[in-house]
Amino acid sequence: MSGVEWVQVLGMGRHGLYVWPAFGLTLVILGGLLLHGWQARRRLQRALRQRWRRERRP
Amino acid sequence: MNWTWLHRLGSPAIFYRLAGRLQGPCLALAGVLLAVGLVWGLFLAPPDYQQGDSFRIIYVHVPAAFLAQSCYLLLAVAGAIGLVWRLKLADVALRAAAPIGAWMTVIALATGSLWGIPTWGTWWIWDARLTAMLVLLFLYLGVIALGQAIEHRESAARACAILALVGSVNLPIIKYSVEWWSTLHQPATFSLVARPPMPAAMWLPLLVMVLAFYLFFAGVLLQRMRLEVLRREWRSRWVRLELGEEGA
Repeated sequence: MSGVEWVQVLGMGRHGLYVWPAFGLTLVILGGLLLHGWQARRRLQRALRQRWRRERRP
Repeated sequence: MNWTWLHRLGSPAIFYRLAGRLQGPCLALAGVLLAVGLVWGLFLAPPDYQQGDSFRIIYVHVPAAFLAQSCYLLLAVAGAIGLVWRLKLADVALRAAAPIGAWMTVIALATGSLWGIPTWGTWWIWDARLTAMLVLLFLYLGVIALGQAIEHRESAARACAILALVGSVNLPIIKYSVEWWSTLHQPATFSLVARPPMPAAMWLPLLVMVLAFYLFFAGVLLQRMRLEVLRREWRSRWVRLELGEEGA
């Protein structure tokens, strides 16, 4: 694909200003939901291990 | 009918393990379908004869709007099960699904606004469909806030379940708003009894995106429910074993 064709595809017939932010926002939110779940699990695992370690101490 | 499987599934430990096995395949399949749907919808589907390329926003707007409503229905069903049978997992599902539903509503509203600028000439109008979707967002925020504001777990579960049930009145209003009132919003894209009012080259990628969103939702919901189960059951021996804690 030549450079001009890419510009036309990305321009979306002058609607690129609306189409790309719509898709970008959606993907950011979906990615954020997934990432938040993974990070929350890691944080919880760390907190639980610390709590159990404290409980085991005499 | 033998209902022992349901009672077994209601056990947090069994649910945690089963959800762990389902979560990965759901997310992996959602990723593949999302990639296919995005490429198909953005580059291969033909532009609309009236709206041009701005119609491509449909491929994220409609799946998010479907999911926003389905997720609230799930909240209402989980609330009813929690209130009637006092199943712990029903409250876990309700609390885990609410933030996902809220974000799906945000996507539907934001992408709808972006689509509205080139199509209607405005990003917002106090139209019946749009206003009902905004009310849905407030209902989700209400459920989330209520769950966080009440410390006693059982009281919080009951309050969230009641709000979820009462709020479900908004679902038929959203669905039929385009028929009951004169609105700017177009009628339903998919119907169970009629062919979609667009060619297959346009609705097939939409179907792929809808499936991708539902699978993504299932994967993230299971992920969040497992997390909530761990938070509630951290004193149990099976949690220590699951997390590989020595000396369990």
